[in-house]
Amino acid sequence: MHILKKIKSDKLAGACLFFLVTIILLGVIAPVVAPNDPVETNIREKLSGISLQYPFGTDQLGRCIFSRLLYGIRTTVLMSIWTMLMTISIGTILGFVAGYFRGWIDEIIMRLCDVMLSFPSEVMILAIVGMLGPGLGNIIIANIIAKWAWYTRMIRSIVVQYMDKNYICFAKVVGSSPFHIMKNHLLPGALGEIVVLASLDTGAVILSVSALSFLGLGVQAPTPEWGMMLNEAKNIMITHPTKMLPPGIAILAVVAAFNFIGDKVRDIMDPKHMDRRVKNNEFAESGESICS
Amino acid sequence: MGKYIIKRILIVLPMMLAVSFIAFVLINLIPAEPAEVALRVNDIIPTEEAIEGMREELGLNKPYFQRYFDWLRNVLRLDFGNSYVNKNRTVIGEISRSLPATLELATVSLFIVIFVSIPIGVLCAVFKDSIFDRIVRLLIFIGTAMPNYWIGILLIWLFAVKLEVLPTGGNKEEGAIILPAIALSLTYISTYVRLIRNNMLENMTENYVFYAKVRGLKERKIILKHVLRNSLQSSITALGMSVVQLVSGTVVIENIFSWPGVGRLCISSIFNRDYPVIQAYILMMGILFIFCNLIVDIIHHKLDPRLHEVM
Repeated sequence: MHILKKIKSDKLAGACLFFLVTIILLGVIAPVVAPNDPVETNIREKLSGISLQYPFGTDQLGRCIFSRLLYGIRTTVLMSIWTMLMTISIGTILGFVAGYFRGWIDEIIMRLCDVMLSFPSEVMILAIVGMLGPGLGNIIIANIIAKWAWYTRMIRSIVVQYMDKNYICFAKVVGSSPFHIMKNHLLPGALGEIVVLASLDTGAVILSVSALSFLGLGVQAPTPEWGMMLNEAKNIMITHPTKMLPPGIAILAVVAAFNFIGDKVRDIMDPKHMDRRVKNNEFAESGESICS
Repeated sequence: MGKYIIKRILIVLPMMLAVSFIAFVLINLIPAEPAEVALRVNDIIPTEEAIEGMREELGLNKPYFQRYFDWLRNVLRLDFGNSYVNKNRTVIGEISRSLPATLELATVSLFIVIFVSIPIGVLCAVFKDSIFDRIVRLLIFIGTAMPNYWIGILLIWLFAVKLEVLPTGGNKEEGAIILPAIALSLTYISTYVRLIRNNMLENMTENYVFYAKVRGLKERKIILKHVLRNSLQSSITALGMSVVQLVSGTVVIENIFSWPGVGRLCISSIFNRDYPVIQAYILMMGILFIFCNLIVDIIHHKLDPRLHEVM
């Protein structure tokens, strides 16, 4: 993985990566490190300030904000990463099938993508949440349905470029199975660009998931989630404005770190090339090759 | 040229059909029985006969495609049926009542985005790597990572609670639009400053700029007349897309600032399971999206003579 090495060699990007890995680990081991139960209410201690027992104070129900932040990593960050992985997997599978086989199957998948992309993704997400009803699982499903088409199209375009390469043609000629070619010849080459796509967008997924939770469409109380914590903090802003800070800063920091790494990864992987392709939405289908 | 526009407009028809089909299918995929929902929201106990009667009333017992065409025929006459929650209110009435507020908010935000990001983007490109450029880049970086609803509530706290200069929400009081418009535009400003700056920088390395310099043209003239014009062309596509994003982005902001627009209507419909309203909202946004794309494509085509030969 030369991308990882290059990220590490850049000081700021390395720091971002370290920060994100720490956050993810903290989320995984939240039950061990959290000083208090995140859902246990304690009305006597409500809205208390910073103390040893409550490092970030408590909220309007006396729940430990620090512990809620830690558990919130699971719902906000880990679920977003999970959503991203699911979306990109669907995009990769369909993109590979469409780009490899072309013909009618490509036509069907691409027209389906066209239809899905005829809606702005925010509206699509709202529509699906509206249909399925509020809930974290539904938000994730909505995000996947709203975004898979874009990734399928992008990944197909990557695959199409590789299909003209001679080593793929040779592999076809010697009679390798399509699955073998995809797994051993296409995937290693395309993986880098797929990683770029994924890393660029994870921050946006976190923002989308937490925004829906902020509106009350996502996680249901009392499960801790950063967007919902902000919503609760909003209601007490007149008396305790500082309660708006911890969840907001948490989202800001994590999304900023993801965006920064995304930008760096894109810089590492030939930036101009990538940008132009995204912009024009048209892809190298011409070019001389022994296949054609 | 004319051929391209006709071709482009013709594509709109199947796209609109696809959008309408999705809007119809999505709502018909709901796990709950619509007739039962329609009864429940009105506090009627859903007995067998009541559900059967409601199915009859809503036309749910007809075959699928017939229902789609019936629905489509009504939609073409702007008849989306009545709201489930408020039986005597039509969906189109609800939407047209809240649409002006949303459009007002989106328009004001769009102007803020244009008038702030173009000058800043240009200045950043011209004074690349100066202190100004660095500070703006840092702010942009924070702006893209900051959730806009957080910006919204921080603005409310600062200007409405602490300084008490602007109202916290609603659209009745004077100056009420300022905070939501700022909150809505900040994220897009970050995106466009970055876009314009990068476009300008890319254009500045092109040969025609070098040639203009060789001809002895003034730096200011080169930047304003040549580089900016070329850069803005490529930004138009993004700006056109952002019209829809602004309108759909109002969902969050409207809810924070209790702005009585379609975004707020949509969210409350989702909570009330008022499916006809959600359906109308989806369809409306889909069609808006198609038309924005169409207009952007045509303008883009008109502005860029290089595209003429291709078609």
